[in-house]
Amino acid sequence: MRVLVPIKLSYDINQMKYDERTGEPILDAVPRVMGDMDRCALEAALQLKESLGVVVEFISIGSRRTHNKLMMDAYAMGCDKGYLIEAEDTNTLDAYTVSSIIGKFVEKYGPYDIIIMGATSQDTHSSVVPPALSALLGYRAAFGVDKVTVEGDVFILEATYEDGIYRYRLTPPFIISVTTEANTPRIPKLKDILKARRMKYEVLPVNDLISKDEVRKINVTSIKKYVTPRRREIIEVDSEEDVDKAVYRIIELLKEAEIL
Amino acid sequence: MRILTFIEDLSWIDIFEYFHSALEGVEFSAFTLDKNIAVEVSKHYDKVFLYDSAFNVYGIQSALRKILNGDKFDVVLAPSSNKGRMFAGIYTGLTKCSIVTDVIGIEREGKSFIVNRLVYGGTAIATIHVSSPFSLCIVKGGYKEKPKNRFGEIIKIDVEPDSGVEFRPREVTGNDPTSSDIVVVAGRGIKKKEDMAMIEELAGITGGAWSVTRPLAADYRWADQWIGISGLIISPKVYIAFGVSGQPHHMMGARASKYVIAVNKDPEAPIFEEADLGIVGDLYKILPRLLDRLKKG
Repeated sequence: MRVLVPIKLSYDINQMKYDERTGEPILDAVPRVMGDMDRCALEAALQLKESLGVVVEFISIGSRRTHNKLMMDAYAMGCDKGYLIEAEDTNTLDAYTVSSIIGKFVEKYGPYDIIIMGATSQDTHSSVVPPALSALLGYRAAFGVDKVTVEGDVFILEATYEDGIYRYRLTPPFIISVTTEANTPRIPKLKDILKARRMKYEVLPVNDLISKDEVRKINVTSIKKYVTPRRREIIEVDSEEDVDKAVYRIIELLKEAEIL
Repeated sequence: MRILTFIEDLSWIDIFEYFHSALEGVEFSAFTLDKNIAVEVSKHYDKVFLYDSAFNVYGIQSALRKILNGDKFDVVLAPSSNKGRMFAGIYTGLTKCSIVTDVIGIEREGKSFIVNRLVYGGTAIATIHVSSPFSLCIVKGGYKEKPKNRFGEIIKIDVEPDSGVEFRPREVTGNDPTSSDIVVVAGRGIKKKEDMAMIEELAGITGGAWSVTRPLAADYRWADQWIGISGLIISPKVYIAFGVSGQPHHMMGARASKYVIAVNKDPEAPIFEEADLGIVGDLYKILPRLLDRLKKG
């Protein structure tokens, strides 16, 4: 069985920096990493490698310059084969274009029995590439999966949504996306990291998969820090009187909001 | 503009009506998975597609293929919820349209539209130009418009649901952070599970609901749901947090609240940046005193 894990290099949103004057993000100063959910997708695939002996392949879209570490990270975790679809400015590729690149790759280099993705990327958190890809390929699917179990040749996939728990029983081929609840990703040992440095990945130009005209970019006109209009009244509590004052202000605000 | 909306629950009717006007729609269709919702929605739409089934991806793929055989749409609207994103994502895969999620506003500009969306964990707003066809996933917010009467027909879509899907509804506990006026939220500043009793008590006294941040639910198992981008998105009148630091993924689920009150002993906690009232102090001193005062009336 072949398993494909598409992964994305995301901005680490916990380290976002903004220009104080213009409110624009200083993206060059923000580290780019493999998202937590992508790591969980790789882990889910690697667990299937251990239990069922599947072959784990991974794919990312980007340039050698920016994505080399990401590819090495995936190898260090224990993946068998990596592909980099070479494209510039991947941040502005629209979701359909990303899905169609992966879809075309699956048609050309597949078949894959299972495709596992992270439920959402760390920086744009749209969660739409997995469902779009499932529709393109016509695969059965389960998204936002937080538990994967295997019974014979049936995969049991549990996902929690707003209204309850959905449990899917699927047999390959299928596509799933996993959340950080699904597992705890392994941390590669030093020897695996060193071994990964010797691993080669295949680099494919994006236009081998889709034509130039099919590459669609998101038309972003501006990105600015989101400042919620808040009062930002701060009370520092050092003494007993401060506790009373704080409690008094909380109650005042609850009254203003017509809670009390 | 022919618009198709995915209606997950009735609270979305007013919100989508606002977008109907903003998009200058002329023909309005809805898609729903629930018979009762279909009846209510049909009063305000020209056409309602009812796929009477538990949510399942494969079934929705087939249902949408069937609908797209006879109908074409310029815009698809869905909630920025788990199911809304899946619905719009599947639609995008089938029709190759563009898609914007986490939408918080829209304006017309000539023949196209300018859409504002949240990015980078809700710390930034991106302004994006879109031309039809496109899909939008909307974040619940202040926009509302009284729905117009349209009296449309309900069209049942018969497609087989994915044979392997089972649904277990969430237990009804009476604690519903998504529909309460005040939500009391516990973060990692709460030291022991027993201390959650104070959080629940405050929710009880104020007639609201309680919830937690992701580590308390996912790591400590003190609750089955949490507030945040991967959990519940809430928009109460008051969000009051005890021991919550305010990480971007959590705040994205709470930012639509009208008032934000935060109690945290770390003056550097990012939550103070977006609080209306920030109390820098020990929640173990403030919360008991607050409960005491409220009980005394």
